[in-house]
Amino acid sequence: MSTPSLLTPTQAAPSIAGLFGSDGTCCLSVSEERAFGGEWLPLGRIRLAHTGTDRSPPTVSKLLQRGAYEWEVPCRDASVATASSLLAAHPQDRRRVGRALDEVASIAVRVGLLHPRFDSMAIEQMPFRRSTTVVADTSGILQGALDFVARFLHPAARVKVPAIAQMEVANLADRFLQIRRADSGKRRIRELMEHLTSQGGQRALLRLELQADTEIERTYLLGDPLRSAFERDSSSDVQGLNISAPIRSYADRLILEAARHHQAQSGPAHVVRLLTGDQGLARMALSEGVRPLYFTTTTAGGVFGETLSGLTFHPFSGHCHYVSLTALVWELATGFGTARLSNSDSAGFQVSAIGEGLSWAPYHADQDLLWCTQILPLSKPPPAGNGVKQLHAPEHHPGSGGGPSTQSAGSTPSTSFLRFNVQRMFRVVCAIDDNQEMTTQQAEDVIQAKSAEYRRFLQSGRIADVTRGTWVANDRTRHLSAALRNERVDEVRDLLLCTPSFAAFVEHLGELSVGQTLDPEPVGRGLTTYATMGEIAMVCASVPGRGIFPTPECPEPEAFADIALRRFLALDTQSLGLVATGEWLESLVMDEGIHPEVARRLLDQASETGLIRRSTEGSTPQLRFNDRIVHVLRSDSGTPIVERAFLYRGDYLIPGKASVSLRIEAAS
Amino acid sequence: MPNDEPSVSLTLSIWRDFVPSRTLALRLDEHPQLLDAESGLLEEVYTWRLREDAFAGIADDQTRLDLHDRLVRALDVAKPPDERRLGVLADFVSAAEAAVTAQSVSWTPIHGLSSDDQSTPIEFNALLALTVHLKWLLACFGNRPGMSVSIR
Repeated sequence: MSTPSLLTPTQAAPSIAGLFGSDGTCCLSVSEERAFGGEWLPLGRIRLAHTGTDRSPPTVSKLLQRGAYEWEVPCRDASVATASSLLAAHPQDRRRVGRALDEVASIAVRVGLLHPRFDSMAIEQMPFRRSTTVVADTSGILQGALDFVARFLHPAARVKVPAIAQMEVANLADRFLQIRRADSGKRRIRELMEHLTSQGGQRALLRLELQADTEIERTYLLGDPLRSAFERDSSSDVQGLNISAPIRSYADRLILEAARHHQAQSGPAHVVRLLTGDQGLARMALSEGVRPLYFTTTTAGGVFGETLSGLTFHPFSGHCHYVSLTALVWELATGFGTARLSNSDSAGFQVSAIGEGLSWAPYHADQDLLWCTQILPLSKPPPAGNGVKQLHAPEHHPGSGGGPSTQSAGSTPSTSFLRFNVQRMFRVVCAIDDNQEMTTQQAEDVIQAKSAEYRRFLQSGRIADVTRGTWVANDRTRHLSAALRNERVDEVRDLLLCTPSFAAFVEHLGELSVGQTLDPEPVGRGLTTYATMGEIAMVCASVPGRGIFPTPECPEPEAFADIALRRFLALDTQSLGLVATGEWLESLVMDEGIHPEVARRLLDQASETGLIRRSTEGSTPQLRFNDRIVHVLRSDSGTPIVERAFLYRGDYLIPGKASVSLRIEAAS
Repeated sequence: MPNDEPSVSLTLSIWRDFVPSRTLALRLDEHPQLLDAESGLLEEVYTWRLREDAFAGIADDQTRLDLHDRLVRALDVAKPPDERRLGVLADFVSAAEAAVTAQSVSWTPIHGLSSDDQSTPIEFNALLALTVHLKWLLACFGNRPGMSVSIR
């Protein structure tokens, strides 16, 4: 699995398209990391609507973006049963689970796969022939009616969102986050529902404000009354959380007042409509001279068990209207937290809006960025019985794939340890990916050396196909190239593990316990090469004079804080309150099996979350430790670089700080 | 935007029984015809044009003819409104859903949505899309009395 990276729907489309293999289908599932305990709720199958033979990612990507797919949603009863099991819900809570799944229907309406079920009198008035102001209430925002107005009735319809509706959505989000922070397993259903409604509502508002070509107008704030529109919620389910809940009818009153206020300010011919799915509000509006655009809530029954098409008809013109697959996936990811598409090869693409370690910033919303993770397929084990001993080759190693890579006739996967320059090997992979096909001479121009060992290494892991002097890119070339250019170390490690020799090297490391060093004998002349790749892949680290240590550990930030402090105190024998940064990092490698790159990241996290306090002192680099390095992967303008990170220089741990001594203290 | 419309295009209208608040006169010739609550007037409340051939993807000729009849003939505007109630449309939707579920409908190139790459036409299941749309109309108008539907 790659590390998460921020992508827009358009940027993610080619990777998603790559999942639709020969059968043209993918499974769709969603997860609320806490409510579902990290498990996945299947939401059916996506089928690519394409009878042609061209299944290349660019073509498929184009088709999926134009809605050429069908979503086969599983039946409701099965989904409720699965969700109940994931939520550890009591049998009497099944109705609540069903109500949570109604939100899937709201998601389908918000993206435009279905339309809200409007009152027939409201449909009669559509499309509006004269300028009409539509004042939306909270149900209109959450259940997709506002999106419908913006999508199909704009520009004749001018959208107004009263401040109270915005506040209700903000309040929903606040409730969700409070339950999430409380981290109690007893409120899983409620957490799921609050997540779905609050995040979906916020996304709908942000989409209209930032993405859609619709002008959202604010209404009169109505000052003081807003302050008393919320009260403390005395529900026993959330007692003690100090959650506030809107006084329902009061909020409705304010929304209606917003519509009446606008009507009073408009000319007599101007029409004002109140968009609501709330019967009480619709009745109140009717009785006070404001015509409602009333709609009935779309429930799970309208979606589950159905097949929905990404291409639908415009409700008024009859022209085709499409909903891109990424729009659906993005909406599901926002509602549930994470959405995933996966194919029969176990390859997948995961989109997350919230999660441990995933940040948010306003530019994410502005550009519709979500955290995306590529899940590589399980590759088939290397062919057995080829006469070469499989040195500790793992049973399965993640690779990449799509179609099977072809290997040149007569060649066998090489398990012997080779010797080459790792950075040049990375660059030739990128060059093959760029050119798709290269001659040996062109490859040697990139490598600036003889290419034999590079060729053997790449062929052994089927990272490139080399036939009759031609180096040809395949799916693994593409994946590795992308991983290198984006510094996705986990993915790089998974792909390097496709080569029997690197897999054997890692297997050797796996046999060691923390603190033991690797026997260099079996690796022989390739030691430097494999140690470098191992450091880049974060499976080992070298300590000059001591050897190569395995670094399999990656503790949670809380546990790391204890380890960091313990190692610091053990090194600070003279109670100076300071130790050399490199000394501390090497101690973590040797005594705790923690790679410097992992230590660096966890130190940041532990410090940012207040688990520990760190500071540095001294500004003169200790040049005598210039051989104490670790090789790390960096990318400069899309070119992979194998960088030597100096452990005894303070700027490795804290960029911009040349300090060489580190102080770590427990947070008070 | 549409670039090429198929030769088959249908217009669906939903009508409601119309009762004029005062008597109307229809001037056909020398003698105007008076229209009142008893005249059986209808008012069109929704109109929609199907711009794709919804039946093109149905492989089986018999099924295609049957569905075509259920929609186009059964809802011919020449029939009296009582024979064109929304229930007839619901029957068509049920039959169309059965055909879609049986996977006897294939994807066909779309006419109303241009692709950047002409060599890769965008395809869809027009009957499925039509079914989804008609189900929406039935959900919105289905329970209202005095409604009728026609196809032209």
